[in-house]
Parts: sequence; structure tokens; C-alpha cells
Amino acid sequence: MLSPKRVRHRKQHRPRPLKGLSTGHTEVHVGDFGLMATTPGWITARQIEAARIAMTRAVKRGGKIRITIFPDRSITRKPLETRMGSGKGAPDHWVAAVKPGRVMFEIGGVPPELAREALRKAAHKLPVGTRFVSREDA
Amino acid sequence: MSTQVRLSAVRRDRPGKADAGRLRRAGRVPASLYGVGVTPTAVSLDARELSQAIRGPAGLNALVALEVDGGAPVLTVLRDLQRHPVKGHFIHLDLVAVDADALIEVEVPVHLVDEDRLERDGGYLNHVRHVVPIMVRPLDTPDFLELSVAGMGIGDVKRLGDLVALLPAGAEIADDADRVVVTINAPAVSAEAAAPAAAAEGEAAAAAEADGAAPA
Repeated sequence: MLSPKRVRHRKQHRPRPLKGLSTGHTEVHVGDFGLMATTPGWITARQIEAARIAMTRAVKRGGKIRITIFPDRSITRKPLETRMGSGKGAPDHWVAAVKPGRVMFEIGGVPPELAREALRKAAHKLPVGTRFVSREDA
Repeated sequence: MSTQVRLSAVRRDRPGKADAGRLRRAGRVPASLYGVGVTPTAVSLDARELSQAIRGPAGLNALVALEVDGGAPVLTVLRDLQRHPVKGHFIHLDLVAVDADALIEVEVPVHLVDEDRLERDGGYLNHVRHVVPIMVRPLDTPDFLELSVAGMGIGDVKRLGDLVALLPAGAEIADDADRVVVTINAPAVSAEAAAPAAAAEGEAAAAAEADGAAPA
């Protein structure tokens, strides 16, 4: 799964509720088709990996899949049946904070129908609303 | 030859985001007109007319003969078209007045043809550069460049220098001629087929690094 190699601070403040629209990577840059978020959310490294596997299996051979988000925010969790206090919990998992308009995955070198099907399967693994976009939509 | 479209614009007397918002709600697009021989002016265009104008064969490279408040048409090109990232509606654009005889830099799409005559051998077509910057006279701007990929096999590369023959007279490539436009890559095998699940994890990390997705 994706995670940062090295971080300056292991524990971060909890990301605030995501407001506004994505300002970066709102178009398909490298591939021919992409999957765009239409609602905000945190996407965990496990979900990104699940989406990647779903796309890889759908495409089988050929094509190029690119993941254009990275889970660089740590989320901590306290152990079960622990009283409140005594400091912040241990890092539990990593998430990517995604705002509407962000193209999260790109795919190229495959026919449009196959790209649409692969990205549809990937979208089922994600906690945000999505839309299939192509280079021509830009 | 580039497609030329006629658009009419209305001068905006009250620049600012409040007035721009009102215009957008009324179906118009705030825009700025500047460039050769014109005084920088804030104008607005009809969103539907603009949408139709850029749906033509030239797309965003369409030449616009702009009439401001019914005046004489000014030859302009579109720049910096801003759209809503989710809904897709227009937010703002710049219209740059150009001299018909001077060279301007435009980005022209590259269309690949003869894909059925590829010698794929299981490889896949990697279209690296979808648009190329060229210097050209506005009226000579091609709608697109058609690059043949017939006979290309795995490892073969076409570069910007190969597009020079496709350009109109007087035009030139505005970038390094060695830059890759299209290549045929060796087949990518799915992680499941290539290695057990344990190895797939390392591959995902490597792929992410190659994409530059990892934070600094």
C-alpha cells in the first residue's frame, strides 16, 4: 500500500472538513481517461490499492494506469477500551484528502469502453462520488 | 487553416466578482480583451455562443473575430479559458488581439492515424504529447496535425522533429525537436499474472514514485 517513506511529524492534526474545490490536477494530464471526484472525502491507502487492483484486473494486459493521489495524511486511533486522555493515539492509517474536481486515476492505451469499465470498478472501491472524464472533456 | 468564428461582446462597466457572478447567472461569461492594437477592456460574451465556437474543428485554437458593442471586428485568439472543475461551465477567459501577419505561439493537437497498421506485438501505443507548441501566423494555424504511426513497433519513437513536414509554410516547432510525441511501449503485464501478491506491493510503491506522487 502507498505510504510516505519518511515524515517530519508522525501525528498530524485531524484534517478539517474539506471545503471548496480542488485547485490542482483537475484535468486528465497523462492518460486518455480519468476518474474525477465529485464529492469531498478522505481516501485511505487501502482503498487506493483496492481501486488499483480492480483496474489492473479489468485491463488485464496493456495500457498504463496512473494513480494521481497520494495518502500523505496520517490518521491516529486510540486502542479499544481506553479512557480518554493520556495523549494522542498511535498512527493507524494514511489517507489522501480529495476535493471535488480532482482527477484521482488516469488510464491510457486502452479502448474507451475498457477504460470506462475499469474506472467504474475502481469507483466502487472509493468513498467519494466520481465521474468518468476523458481528455476531450477538457 | 484555422476556423474563424464571429462573436459579439458587451463592454463591462463594473469589473469585480459581484458583477461577474451576476453575469454568469445570466448566461454570460466575463472576459478580458487585450493585445495588439486594442486598449485592455473588460467584456462579457454569451456562454452558449462561446460553447458553440470552441466545439468546432479548431477547438480552443479557433480564431475569433470579436465585435465589442457592435464595433469593428478584432482578430483575437482564446487564452486561459477557466472552467468550473466539476460542473464544467465557463468562469472566465482572455481574448488576445493578434496581428494577422505576426507569428504567435499556439498549442496544436496531434492526432494519430494508421493505428491499425501498427506492428504492436502486444505493445501499447503511448501517446506522450497530445499537443505541440508551434509558432505560426494566426490565419495559418492548423486545426490539428495528423501523425502516421504506420509501421511502428515496440521501442520505436516519433519526436517533435518528425512533425516539421506537417506544418504550414512559415511555421516552426516552438520546443526541443528531440521531445517524444509517441512511442510503442512493451506490454504491461498485470501484477497478478507477473508475480505473487507480495511482490505486487513493491511494484505499486515503485509505480507511485515514478509518477512523482510521493510527497517531497
